Amino acid sequence: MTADITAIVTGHREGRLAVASLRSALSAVAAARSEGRRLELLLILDRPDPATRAVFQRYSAQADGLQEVDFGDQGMTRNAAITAASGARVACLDADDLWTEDWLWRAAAFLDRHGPGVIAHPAYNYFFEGQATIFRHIDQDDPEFSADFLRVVNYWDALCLCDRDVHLSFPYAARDVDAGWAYEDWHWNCETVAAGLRHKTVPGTVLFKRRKPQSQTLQASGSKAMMRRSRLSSYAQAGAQGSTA
Amino acid sequence: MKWLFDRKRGLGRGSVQQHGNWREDIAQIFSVPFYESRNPDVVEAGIDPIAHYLDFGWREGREPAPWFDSTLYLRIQPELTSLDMPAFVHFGRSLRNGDGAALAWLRGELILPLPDGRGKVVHTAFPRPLASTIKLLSDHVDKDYYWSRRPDLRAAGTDPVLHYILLGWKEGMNPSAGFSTEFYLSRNPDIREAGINPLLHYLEVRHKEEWRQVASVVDAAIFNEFDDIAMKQRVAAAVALDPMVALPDQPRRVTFPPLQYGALGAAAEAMRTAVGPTPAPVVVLLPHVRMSGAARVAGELTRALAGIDGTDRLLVVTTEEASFEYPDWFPEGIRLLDLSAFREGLEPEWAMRLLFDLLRGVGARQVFNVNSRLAWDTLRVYGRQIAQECLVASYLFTWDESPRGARVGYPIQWLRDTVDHHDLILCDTARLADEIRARFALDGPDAARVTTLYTPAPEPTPERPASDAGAPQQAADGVPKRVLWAGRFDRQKRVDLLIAIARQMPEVEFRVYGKPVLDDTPLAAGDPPPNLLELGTFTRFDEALDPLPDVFLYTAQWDGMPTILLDAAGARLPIVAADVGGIAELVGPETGWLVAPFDDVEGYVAALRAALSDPADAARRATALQARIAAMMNRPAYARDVAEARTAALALRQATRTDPQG
Repeated sequence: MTADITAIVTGHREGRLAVASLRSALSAVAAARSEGRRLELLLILDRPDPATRAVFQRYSAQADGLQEVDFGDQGMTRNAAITAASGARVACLDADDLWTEDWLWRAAAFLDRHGPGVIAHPAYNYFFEGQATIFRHIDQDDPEFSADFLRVVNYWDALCLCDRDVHLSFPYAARDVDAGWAYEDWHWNCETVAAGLRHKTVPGTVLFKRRKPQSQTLQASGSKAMMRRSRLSSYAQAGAQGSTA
Repeated sequence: MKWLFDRKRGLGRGSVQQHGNWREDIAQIFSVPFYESRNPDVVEAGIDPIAHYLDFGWREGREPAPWFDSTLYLRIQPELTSLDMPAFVHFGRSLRNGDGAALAWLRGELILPLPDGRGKVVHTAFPRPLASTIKLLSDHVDKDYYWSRRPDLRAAGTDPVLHYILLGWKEGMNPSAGFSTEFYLSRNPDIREAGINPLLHYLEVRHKEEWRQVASVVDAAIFNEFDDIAMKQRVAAAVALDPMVALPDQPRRVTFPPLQYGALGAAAEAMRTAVGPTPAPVVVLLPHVRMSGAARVAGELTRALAGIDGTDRLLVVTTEEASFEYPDWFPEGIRLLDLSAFREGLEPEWAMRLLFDLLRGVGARQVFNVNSRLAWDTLRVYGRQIAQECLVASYLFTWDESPRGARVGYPIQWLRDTVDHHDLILCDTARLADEIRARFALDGPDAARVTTLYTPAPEPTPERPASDAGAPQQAADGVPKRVLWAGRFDRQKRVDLLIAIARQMPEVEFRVYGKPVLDDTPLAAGDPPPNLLELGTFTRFDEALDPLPDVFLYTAQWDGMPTILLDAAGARLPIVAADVGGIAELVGPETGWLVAPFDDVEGYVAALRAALSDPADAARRATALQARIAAMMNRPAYARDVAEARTAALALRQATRTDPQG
């Protein structure tokens, strides 16, 4: 089957927290199908614990595939799922976060309108459990956007919708916290911005993100991880990009 | 605009004559009992209260009557401040002239100029707000923000604080981008119903009623978006899937990277713009270029690297201060960047990210850190990563010692945390290099990671006639022998030993130059004997050579390779020095007198007596020392050693490290 969108849920050791995430993915897939989109749902587990494996297997019958990999690396796991995907566009969800029912079809309609070369992010990330914040994503066409800023601070996470080809051209870099490298989403954002792709926000959309005290992001910042060097790192490239790329 | 009170009627700067007029203006309304009760010093001095007010009190912020508030009066007519007269005199005169606004003030009202919407200004009376209210809100009403949204108020000269207090909040005006009036009133309906100014309420209760919802203007728009029915449904659906979505059960905050990290982003942009797109594969980091041994060494290192790589491949970066006081120390045409200007005001961790960004931005492949605190701190935090992208070299001089004798400084704590991130550790003495190799077991192939680089010595003092050099004059009858001591009067240099030595040699004149730099104890605190002459400081070493000293004495508790010894050797002075740091690498039985342990006063005295009693031997040793320095510490040798050390480190790096980019 060739799909319009492949929805990917990546699991690791989320256990029953993944239930809500998988149910949210099923709702989003169903809603997109009801909007006339051809959807593929891929579930992928990376070094899962038995509880997480059991939850994913419980929902695998409603998915188009369940794959297990042994990377111990979120970015590599996404890369593997994207390689296996048949959709022209792909969207990823971590198995402790929640999509809204309308995310996939609204983001797809947004990309339809804004043409190729656009990466669609939800307008907001609604952090819950460990943190009561609403994180506002910036649109690259917002005057406040700055490529210089992106070199030193990240703007967006990886839970976006974009053409599968974008991911094939710019796969996520390997995470290696022991060597000091993390923030593969930030790195991917820099690479794609340097390549001239545009990160935009879909008005009225929100992603629910669980913030646990031991989240990978917080672990990385505690150990002073850094993103790998990207094409945007060079001042020659950044200058060509302009401060408001 | 029309003035609230007419300021043009006979006002001017204070004088005896005008005081007379001023007194008439306020005599009927000045409250003597009030003034006396508030100012007992005036009563005690027996001064007439009105005279005191007109002469001094109004300038000192003393008020003339309980119902008058000079600050508020000037606030509504800020132009009056330039008249250099008491606001109360202006008010009294306006009152005498029958100005209605002045009468209103007397009634407890305040007249505010307001645009009428047809290009005119109308003056409207309001109950006068409490001075405390105005004071509290003044810091939270952004005048420019307010006027930018109401240019008509700007044109009418309406004070934004007063306008917001009296009218603005009722009209839904926001006092600044940081506070949404409508949001506060809508989320706190009890305050709306009570008709309380929302900003005033928030400022008064914010620490007691933390549950109150408050938002900036931008955040309020987002919260309002989340109040939209469709968004509410999205949140409700998520809560239905996982009730944890509703937690923590507290007011949400909006986060937006440009708000939190705007200063860092702006610094990154400004720095990138200043540096430009030209790459710099070799970066030298140093704190500043002020009078310091490290800055001079950084100059020599840069000169050597530029000689090998070419000036255009280098970037010299000052990280702590803009000072670049000795450009001559650096090769001509070198690119300079003052990073300290861009990191100003940034959190320490942000400054580290800025440095990391710079290294990547210019495509640095080799980083040389010469005493840059930011570089050392950054290596502690991001050294793992930087070492994967660049050859990392740090220069080490001596450590420091705490008052209790503990070794501290870059060679101790900082190196302990970063030693494995270094490809190359450059030391100015072999003794320090050996100590570091031993401490970190850097032997075998790793031994090449620690290198001694003898800093090129300054040119020998040229002005002195050859006959003078190394041949101090024989003491004529009654003329004492002279010992020169020059340095910082700091703990490290052990001035107490100098004083003790001088006490034991009353027949010798000790000529002492220097001042406290790191410590603040003057030489006199040690009660020096009369044969010790404190002569201030010099800018050039040869200033200390007239009259020519017989011996140079160097005391210290710990040290590296003191530059002053090189100066003394360049002047061919015989040297008696403590055996600390790298001094023994220059001074020994053939080239001078070395005293160990460093605090052996008798040893110094014996060495000085030996040097002073045999001038020919002293001259021979001084000449030998000069020759040794000329052979060891010169620019060609230094450049060769830098090149060899770097080549070895690059080879070792190639064998042991992999580029993270693959």
